[in-house]
Amino acid sequence: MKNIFNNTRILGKQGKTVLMPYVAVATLATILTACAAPQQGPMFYSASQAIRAAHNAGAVEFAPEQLQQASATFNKAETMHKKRRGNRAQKLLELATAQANLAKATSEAKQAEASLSFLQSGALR
Amino acid sequence: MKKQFQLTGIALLLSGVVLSGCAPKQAWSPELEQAREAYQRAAGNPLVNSLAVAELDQANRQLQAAEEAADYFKSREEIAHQATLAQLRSMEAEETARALQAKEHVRLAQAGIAIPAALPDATTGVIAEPILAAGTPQHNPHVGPAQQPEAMMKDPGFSGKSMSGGSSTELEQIASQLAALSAQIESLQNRSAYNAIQHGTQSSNSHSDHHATGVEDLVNNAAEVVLEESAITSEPLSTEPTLAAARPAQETDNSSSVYPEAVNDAVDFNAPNVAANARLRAELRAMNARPSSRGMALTLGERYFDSGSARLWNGRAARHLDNVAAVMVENPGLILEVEAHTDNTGTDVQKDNLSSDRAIAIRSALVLRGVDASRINSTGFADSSPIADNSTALGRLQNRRVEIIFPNINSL
Repeated sequence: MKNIFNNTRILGKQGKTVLMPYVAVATLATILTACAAPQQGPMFYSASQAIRAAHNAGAVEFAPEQLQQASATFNKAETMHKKRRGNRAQKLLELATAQANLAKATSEAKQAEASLSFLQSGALR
Repeated sequence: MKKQFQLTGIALLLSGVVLSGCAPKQAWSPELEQAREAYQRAAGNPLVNSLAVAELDQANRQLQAAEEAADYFKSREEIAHQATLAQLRSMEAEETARALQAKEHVRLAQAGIAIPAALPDATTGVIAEPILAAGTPQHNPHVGPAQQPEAMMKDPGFSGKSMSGGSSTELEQIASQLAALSAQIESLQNRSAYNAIQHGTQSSNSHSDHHATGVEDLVNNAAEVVLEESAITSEPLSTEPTLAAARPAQETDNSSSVYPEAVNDAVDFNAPNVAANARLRAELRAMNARPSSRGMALTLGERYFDSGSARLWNGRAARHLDNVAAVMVENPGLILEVEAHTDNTGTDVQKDNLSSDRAIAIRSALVLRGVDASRINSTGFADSSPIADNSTALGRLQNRRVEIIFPNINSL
């Protein structure tokens, strides 16, 4: 295969010198991108929001196991993401979101039932 | 030799056909089985079906995705993933319904209104006492000091046992129900008194006047709702805010000043009890019911719902629906039509789904308040019956509404 940079018929003598810095910059950018940590997408954001919402709904107290599961799944997703296993990370994030939503709903239900129980026990006195 | 080859070929073909007939139509996965069970359990529960429509719909779509993955023999991991998501969403739907039911019961308990006894438990669909006992520490070991569980346990009035067990607890239950009933009666009497006051001072009716009456918040609800709805229609607050409800645009021209009398004349539902009729008239007036060709009608604006969703906002909607439910419970002969409408944005399917879901949500909310489900008919009309111009934001806002119609209260 012919080296196009040495092919003066394609680039011309001037073109070869002009193109070289661009090539160098592009190569450097590629190398840097490869070394950098991958960007976390919107899925990460929505999963972390779901976990935060569960937290705010009192899941630490009312649905601790479910919240724990969601957090563990989220952490796994982060690990997979760092290992550049994007598909696996995405699935784990979907799972973490669903687990967090369940934790939130469970927590809200238990909290409301506890309030009701408290009110009713007060009414009986 | 040639014949031998032919026979072998036919035999292979036949065995291939037979084997393919015996082969499974779908990849088997235990997770998928569990997801199906979870969804069926949720979908079979009437409370989940009506209170957590959106969540159940999501679970259904997720289950379909899992079934599709199995149909196309996708990887085992993919099928399991989709099925697990479907199962989690079904469970979320159940928990959401359970939470909404419990919150509603808390609200009723706080208002001193008896909790309807014959409601199915959201998690089991079983109609029974667990409503009263669902939140006891026995059932929920994690329930704790956000509601001060230790204090509850030390409290001599709190047994820590289900209220459904034993004759003494039954007596206590009856006593609490009696107390709740008497509170409800008192509340209704207050409301009637308030309506009478409101009617008497209608010439100088204003928001400050509503509060100046000094009647408790529960009694003020109808008036507050009226004011909020008048804001929805963007009509300036007149000296008669009770007349400025979210009335359809085409009906606002003629009858604002004679409206209360129109209500008085219109109410005729053949009930022998004059006092009950008077109270019903007062209730309907307070709720800003307007006469229409099909009976007395109330309009709930879109602000009663989360945007683009069928979930009711707790405060405003709850207060208004309390009044509707009170009228329905007091008058067992009444039936109700709930009709939900949308504006023209979105696809036809989205509009149909949203309007149907909103109608069902209102119906469910009324059922939760003790109204028999058979007395309420709910329909979603999407954008087929606009009352205002869909080309403006205000028009679309007016079109996004739920109408509650009392067809057997003959208005005209």
